Amino acid sequence: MSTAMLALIFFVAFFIMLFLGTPITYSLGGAGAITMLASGLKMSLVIKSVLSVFGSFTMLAIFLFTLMGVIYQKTGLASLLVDALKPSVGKMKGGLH
Amino acid sequence: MRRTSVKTILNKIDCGMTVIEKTIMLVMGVALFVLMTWCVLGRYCFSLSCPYQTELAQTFHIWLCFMGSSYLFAVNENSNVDIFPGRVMASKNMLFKKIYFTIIYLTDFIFVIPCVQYGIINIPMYAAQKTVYYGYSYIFIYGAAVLGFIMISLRIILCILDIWTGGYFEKYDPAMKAAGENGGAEA
Repeated sequence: MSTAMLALIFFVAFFIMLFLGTPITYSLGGAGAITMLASGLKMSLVIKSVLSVFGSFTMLAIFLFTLMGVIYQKTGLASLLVDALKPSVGKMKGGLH
Repeated sequence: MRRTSVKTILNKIDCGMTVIEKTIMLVMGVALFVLMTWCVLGRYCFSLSCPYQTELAQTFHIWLCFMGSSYLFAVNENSNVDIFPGRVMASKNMLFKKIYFTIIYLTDFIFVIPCVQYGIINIPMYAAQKTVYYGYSYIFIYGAAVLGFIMISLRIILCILDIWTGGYFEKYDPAMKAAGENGGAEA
């Protein structure tokens, strides 16, 4: 099967699942699995590709930055920071309000 | 009567799984936080090297992610596009709602089933591999993914059963929730 056809299968499957209401993660994974099945690739690559993403040390930064954001939000540190910056840059154009 | 007992069993399974997931998430999250903090402080303040950082962080991260993915089904907090599900949820046709939400959960299996199936098949291959620094079996990393996908499958099955016993809509349908709260207030 041609690459364009496989791409078409992927996007059609992805958008059908996405608009149906399937969680985004599982829509991407499901569309990927369907495309792999259509292309004749070994299905054992599904779990390997999942692990290769989670096993990446660089990807950890995304998780830790998100965690930091949640900690800032829940503890009220974010609003404190904004309040602290208001006197200096609050009135400037593009400043914090 | 029978429906109530089914609900009780489902609740017990749900509670048991939640305890396992939360415990693992807490332990791995704290361990990851301590590890990363120690390595950053060690590197920049005490001139220490942390060669074990990558593999330990990878292990903690994988456990945390997969248990978290399973837990997301319990609290129904998976990110999705809510255009059609929101409209269907507002519909009064209960059978249609049940079928629609069952289909949504069944589509998750397109991805989850191959992962469980090939995850279990590949276990011996990963068990034979060792990590670079500590030399522990790769099964401690890979096992998280397999266990995570098995727990996700169980969660999906629980959600489908919950849909057909009616508990799902009591929890997540705003109209039914409001009616329940009003009924409770009146009572």
